[in-house]
Amino acid sequence: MRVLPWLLLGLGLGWLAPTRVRADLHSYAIVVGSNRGGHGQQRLEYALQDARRVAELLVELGRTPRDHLQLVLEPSPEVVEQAIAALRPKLAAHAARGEGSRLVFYYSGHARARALSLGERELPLDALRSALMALPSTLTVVVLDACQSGAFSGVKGAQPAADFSTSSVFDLRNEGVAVMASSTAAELSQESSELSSSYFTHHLVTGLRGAADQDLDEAYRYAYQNTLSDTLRTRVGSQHATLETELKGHGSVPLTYTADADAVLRLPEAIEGRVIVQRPQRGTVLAELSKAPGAVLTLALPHGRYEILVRRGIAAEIYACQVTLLQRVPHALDTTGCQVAKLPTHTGKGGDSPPPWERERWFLEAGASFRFAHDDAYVDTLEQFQFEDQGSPTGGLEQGSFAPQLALGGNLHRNAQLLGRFDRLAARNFYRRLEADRPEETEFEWRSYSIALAARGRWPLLGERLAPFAELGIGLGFAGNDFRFETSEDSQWEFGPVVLAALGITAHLWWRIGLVLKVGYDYAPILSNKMNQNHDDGGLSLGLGLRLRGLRGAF
Amino acid sequence: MSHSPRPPANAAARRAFTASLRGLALRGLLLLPATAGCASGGPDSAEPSNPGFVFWCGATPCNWEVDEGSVHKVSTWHRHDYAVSFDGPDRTRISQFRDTRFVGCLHFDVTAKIDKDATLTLGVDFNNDGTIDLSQLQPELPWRNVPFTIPTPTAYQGLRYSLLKQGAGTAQVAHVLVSTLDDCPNFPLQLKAGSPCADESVCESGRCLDERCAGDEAVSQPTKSE
Repeated sequence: MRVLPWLLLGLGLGWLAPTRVRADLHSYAIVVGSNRGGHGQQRLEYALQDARRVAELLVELGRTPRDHLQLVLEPSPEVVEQAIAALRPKLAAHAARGEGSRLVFYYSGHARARALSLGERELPLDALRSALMALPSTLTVVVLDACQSGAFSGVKGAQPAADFSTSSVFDLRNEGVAVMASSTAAELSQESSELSSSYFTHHLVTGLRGAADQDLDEAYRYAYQNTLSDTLRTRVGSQHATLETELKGHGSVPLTYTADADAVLRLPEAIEGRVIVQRPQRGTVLAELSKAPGAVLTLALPHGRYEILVRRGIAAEIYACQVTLLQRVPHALDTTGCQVAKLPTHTGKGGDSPPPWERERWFLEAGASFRFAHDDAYVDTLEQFQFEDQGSPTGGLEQGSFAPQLALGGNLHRNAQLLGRFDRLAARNFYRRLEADRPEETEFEWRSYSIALAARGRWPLLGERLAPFAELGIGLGFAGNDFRFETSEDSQWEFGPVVLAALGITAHLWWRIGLVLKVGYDYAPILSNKMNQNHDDGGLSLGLGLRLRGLRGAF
Repeated sequence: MSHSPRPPANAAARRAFTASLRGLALRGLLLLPATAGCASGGPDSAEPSNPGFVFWCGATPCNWEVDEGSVHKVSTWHRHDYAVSFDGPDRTRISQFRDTRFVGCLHFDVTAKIDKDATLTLGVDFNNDGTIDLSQLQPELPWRNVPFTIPTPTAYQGLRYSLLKQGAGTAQVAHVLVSTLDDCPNFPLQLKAGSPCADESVCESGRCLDERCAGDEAVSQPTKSE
């Protein structure tokens, strides 16, 4: 669950007027990304990607030379502090020469109430504020897109562990400080697997590419509206970005300059509907916006090839346009000649949360099954040789045995999963005593196990709460048997193939934790005797277990 | 049918039972080699000792005597579960005497594997006088258990079980389990001529002369003398 993305803007340390950028303004940026979570926080998916996108944007449109930008990924607190400290002499030199300077500090990652979480380490907001305020920049823009783990304990009642929003505003606000947060203290925010980004950063970047005016207020409004719209119908809940500013001076605070764009895509007046701009090969979404008719909208993009998808209203069809943007040559989109294509799944992003199957990255199923004993010639031979079936060593059931089962897997598709399974197939004990008046007894027992790779086809129902499934797999079976007579014991291991099949259903009454019930049949000819008789330790089984699943893009 | 005692059905109890037996076995570990050859199912039990050929005294199964030919130990379904193999070129016989007076029926469970060109006969010599009073020919078998029941005479003094293999092939026997039945059909067994007898009721011929069952000749001779 990405919690409370923040924009802390305009740490105007002493001066922010005039806010219209001076010609001699020197731009610097520190862009930090951290997917790692601390204790109790799950790993993020897109924090590093968001950091790279912001860095690319600042270089491309933010007049930030590459050597003025520090892209810091998965850092420790010390590395972040060193990156900030390293700017001090440069900014001081500009100030000494009477030149203006701007610093953009962007962070995407986890956070707790009063600190950024950098893996297991934390960077206190106090320390960050002090370090940033100590810089002699004329304008400092801080963007904190922070996540807080442990909040996504369920769709209902999910709460941030602490009020990051309020505390961070309190901690970072100062004279000339503006704070923009993407959610209120009680709200959660989220990443989107469809956008491969957090909602907030995605819309902020889209706005700064031209969907909005490129100044602070307009970028905020654009990000606010689109983030709210996108998250309104999600399970996690809506996000309301907030902006608090205490900027001295007048006028706008431009963050990007589309006039500097390498290439420009114009969406003419006639274009109407949802527009997605993505790279054709990788499918990376660079911009997604709602285009109203009657206005021209210009997007600043790097030159290259793009696929532009235009969906009008709720139409099931979309126009898929292949466009090549040339350097310094504005390109007006014309949907005449574009292919009409089926709606790809990721275009349904607006307002929809990712489907649950996309969120479920992995699952763990642990439980027990009752495995019915399977008799064959191998067992008949034991009985011919006067052994008595004592059933399972635990429980003494001749009908079968209770056995542990474990499965770990992940989703390949809405209807397909791949999993590894570990099962105990059987545990049986045989006993023989040939003479009434002599204590000597012979025991023969075995335990067999299997490890297998299985494919599972599933059919989700009721919003993923129920999912009947069918499973088929192959693997390796191994059995250890012991032959004991008097004080001697002979143990040996045997191996054989295993083919398994199962039908079952998963039920998730709670979001993460559920149940799995299945009926299985295994074929496991593992054991053999000196009479060349094989024993199939498989057979019918009934299993019940707990199911835990890891989720994508919600922490 | 009486049979070997079953261990307790409950697993925990059975394990305790097993452990106690194993403890006894461990405590008597040093004595076992010496006792294995002479222990039996009780002094007057009809059940043979070492019926599963699990104990071996050198090249022969303990408690059994090799009367003819030679035998050796072979593995059966498991490398440590043994049978006795009758592998002489023609006749091979092992036997065991039991000093029992049990009257009733004896139930046999014989688990054996017999080649096509071999026969195996289980014989019972009541009174241990060298006369096989009753024999059961085992059919050609691929490891199979064959049960059968025979009556005893009304009176006898001990018996000898014998296993006789004939033919060029091999026979293997894993168990000769014997249990006793108090009530059985075809009781009693009439003894053959020459068998010891106390009265004529035990003899097949109905005649007991000089404490021996007389044959048919003994019956007819007096007629001729008359």
